[in-house]
Amino acid sequence: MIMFLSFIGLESIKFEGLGKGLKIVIKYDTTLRVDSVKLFKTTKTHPTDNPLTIGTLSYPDSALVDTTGEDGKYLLRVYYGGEKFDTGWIAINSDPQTSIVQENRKNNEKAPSIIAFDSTKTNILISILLFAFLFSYMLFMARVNPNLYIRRIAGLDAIDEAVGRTAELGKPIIYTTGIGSIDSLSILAGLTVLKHVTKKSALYEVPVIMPNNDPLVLATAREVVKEAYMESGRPDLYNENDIFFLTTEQFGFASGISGMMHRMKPGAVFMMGYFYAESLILAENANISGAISTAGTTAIDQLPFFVAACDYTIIGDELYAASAYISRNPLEVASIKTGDWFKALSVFFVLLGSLLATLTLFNPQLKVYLDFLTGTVFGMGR
Amino acid sequence: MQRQGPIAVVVLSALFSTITFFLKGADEIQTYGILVAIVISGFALLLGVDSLILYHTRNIQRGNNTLFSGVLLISFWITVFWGLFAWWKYGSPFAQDSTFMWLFTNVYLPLDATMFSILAFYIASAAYRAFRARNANALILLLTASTIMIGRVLYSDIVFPLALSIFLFLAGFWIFTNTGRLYGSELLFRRFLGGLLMGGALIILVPPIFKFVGSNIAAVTDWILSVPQNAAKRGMILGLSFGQVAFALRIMFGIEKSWIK
Repeated sequence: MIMFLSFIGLESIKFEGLGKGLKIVIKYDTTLRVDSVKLFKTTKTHPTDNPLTIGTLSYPDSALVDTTGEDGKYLLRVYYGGEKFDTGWIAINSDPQTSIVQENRKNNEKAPSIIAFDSTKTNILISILLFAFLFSYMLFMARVNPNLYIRRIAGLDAIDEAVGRTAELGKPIIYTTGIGSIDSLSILAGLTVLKHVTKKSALYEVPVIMPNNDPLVLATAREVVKEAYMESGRPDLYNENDIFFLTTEQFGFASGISGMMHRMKPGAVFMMGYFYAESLILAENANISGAISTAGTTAIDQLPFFVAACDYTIIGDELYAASAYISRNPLEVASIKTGDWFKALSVFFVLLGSLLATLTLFNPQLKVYLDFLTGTVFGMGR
Repeated sequence: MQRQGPIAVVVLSALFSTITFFLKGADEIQTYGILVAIVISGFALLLGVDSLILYHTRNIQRGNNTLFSGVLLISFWITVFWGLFAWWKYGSPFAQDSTFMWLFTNVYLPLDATMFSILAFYIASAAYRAFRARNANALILLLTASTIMIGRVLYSDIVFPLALSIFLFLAGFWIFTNTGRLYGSELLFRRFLGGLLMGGALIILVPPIFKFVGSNIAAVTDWILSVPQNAAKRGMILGLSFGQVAFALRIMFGIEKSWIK
């Protein structure tokens, strides 16, 4: 059984004599993330069905001292991912010698890994399956009735006004998706709004200037803008030079765009994507330059800055809904509806949990249900 | 095919990430996927450099922002050559005492810190515009934000009751005196309300009440941050999470295609 230490997240166990006791030092296998290790000891007075508990180690602590001074056998119980694994009993004398227990692996041979379903993520899997089921149902509903209701989003309605005003002023539009790469959903959502803004601006021949922070976003943005001009029937308006790379550095990016705002005096500034501390620098400079500023981000900590400094703000998940709101494509609207139903379900569980927690104060027997809800249903895998 | 190819790559990558997420012991496969993404983005940086040089060279050729573009290109090439020189001389441009690190520490870092510091002034100007009590919501924002700001400074147990007393007195005085076109019961009500607020302002200055308000302000600000603020924040996080799942599913199933040509 000791041969399979790596399966349970350990590399070796060292038993070191201290004269008056035994020091047990474990080395973790870094490929598996152990939560804690518990050490048991069996002696003549404590048989294997009732062993002594010597102590518990929480990762990354690695040393324990056994001061019982008796000869006996040791067992290490490793906890990770909500499950426990035992090493089996290891016989060690309490004399001052050092014994090291480790797997007999060949040099440079990697520990075999077992790929299996992680049962601690069952609740997440069930949620995703439920989401997929609801999504399919909503898709069906959207095909039956394509006019599903979506509430008004002022920030998205204001795009037409901002583009129109820019055309009247004869100025350009500055558009930014903020900081982050193409793997950020907020930036992808920002690019969907970019397409809409570009289509609108193509009607009035308003140039869209887009400085970028990430080369992959730059390449995608160029494709999006090109496609938008082509769909509007004005491929001649596309200028590759209008969408360019600025810098990957946060404040360099902020100062670069701020400088452009002051020099170009744009009619409108759109900030749709993911932003960090530069959010307020951009929003305030847009305001100072006299542009209509519209911002949308999923960065909760930056939202107050945008709300305070911008003319219109698309708050949180409204940005994800932007594409469906603009296109009114039934397939996209169905996904928004599914998200809304899930929000309603979450509110139900929040209320249920609050009610159970309150009632438990008056009737402690209800704690079983509360523990089931918080521990088993939502606490799995913690 | 130009359209279907990338969508197929996205769908397969998304399925791969989702499946490995639910598997125990698949960490190495996931790490490999992340490494592939890092290598791709490393090569993509060349695209950025290409765009940067071309954009500013064209600007100079057309006489458009020549000064700014010129400064940028000169700085860019100085940094590149300085880095290469440090690499040749010190073995690595990032060696502790290399000339490249000198450039980083003495030029880049102060510029970066300057931009970050400017944020303080922008916060002040944004707060000035946001904290005007134009309607009931703005008034709540103003009062809550002022309470948090004053309640979390040093000696808030003295500053807060004083500030509250001054605020109540000024508000009461304004309500008491601004009665130009009011008569009868309306005038009486405004005078009563104004008097009440001014009286309240004076009562706060009574030592036991002053001490009571001062000693409880820390608890009040903590409560505002941990209960109403946190509740709103969690609600938004919940909405965002479902929005993300819905958006990711739209991309995974090829419904959301505006990111692709």
